[in-house]
Amino acid sequence: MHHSFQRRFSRCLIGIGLFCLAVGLAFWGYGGFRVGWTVTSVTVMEVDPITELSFPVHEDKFLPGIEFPVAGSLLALGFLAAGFGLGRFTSSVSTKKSS
Amino acid sequence: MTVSTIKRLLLAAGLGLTAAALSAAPIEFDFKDPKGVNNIVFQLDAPLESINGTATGISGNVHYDPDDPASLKGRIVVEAGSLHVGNPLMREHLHGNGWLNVQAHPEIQFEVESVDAYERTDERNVLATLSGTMTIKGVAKPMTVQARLTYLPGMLRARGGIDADGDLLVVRSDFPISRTDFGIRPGQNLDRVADEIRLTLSLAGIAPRG
Repeated sequence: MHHSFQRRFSRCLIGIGLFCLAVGLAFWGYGGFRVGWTVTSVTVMEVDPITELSFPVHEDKFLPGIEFPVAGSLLALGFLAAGFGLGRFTSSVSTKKSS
Repeated sequence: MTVSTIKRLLLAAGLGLTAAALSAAPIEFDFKDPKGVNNIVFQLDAPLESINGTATGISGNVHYDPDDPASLKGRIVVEAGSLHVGNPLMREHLHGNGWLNVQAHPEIQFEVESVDAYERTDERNVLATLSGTMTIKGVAKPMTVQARLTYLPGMLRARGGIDADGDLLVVRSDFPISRTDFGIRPGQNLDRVADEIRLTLSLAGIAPRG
């Protein structure tokens, strides 16, 4: 019973890890896989017709950057390591007990 | 020739001279643009992506005589707090004590003291070499920059933003500065943010008449 809980817990940790990775990548994809930092506004350049000067127009827009896949991967790495570690520990203990 | 004819001739000559003197006088252009178009784009190289931002809080006055570009003098002021980048944390750092310290140094300015050389490229455009003093974060340094000056007489109303007749002076310039020269984290974080800051000025000054 105890070992089966540990096995389920280990699978749960692996699942959370994969979920973190997927969320990080999905958020990053929402921003168009930008290889840059997260921004909360984007600048669009427009042209003043008489002077022909380019000028910036700022628009509030959240575009996730590289922090999201990096943070997702780090979290995933932690959860996956814990999950696989616990799984290996549980199986080695049960092997020893059965022998 | 009667006395009245002589009087008329003298009056006409006087008016002509006054008009000539007026046309030769430098025009004062105000760079606080009512359309809010005036801007400076700044760019710094960084490993992940270049840092691009804009500054829009621009004001100042320039005296410019289209017939004598060498007489140009004036001052362009940028509100340091108007510097904008898309990443809010980066913007906070840029305005903070380590970088521009906008609380203590709210203005960046360039004072044009002389025109070293100029070349008239067509009726309206002049390429000029301007010398003056750039002040950033309280540090003043002499600088020489290239600028393209475009004089647009009578175009103010057509452009909009202000209900008045008048002239426009468009100033375009692109030049680098060194952040070390102006005490902006001198010699620090060079592996993460380049020392050179590229500035692109797109400015229009207005001179309403009457």
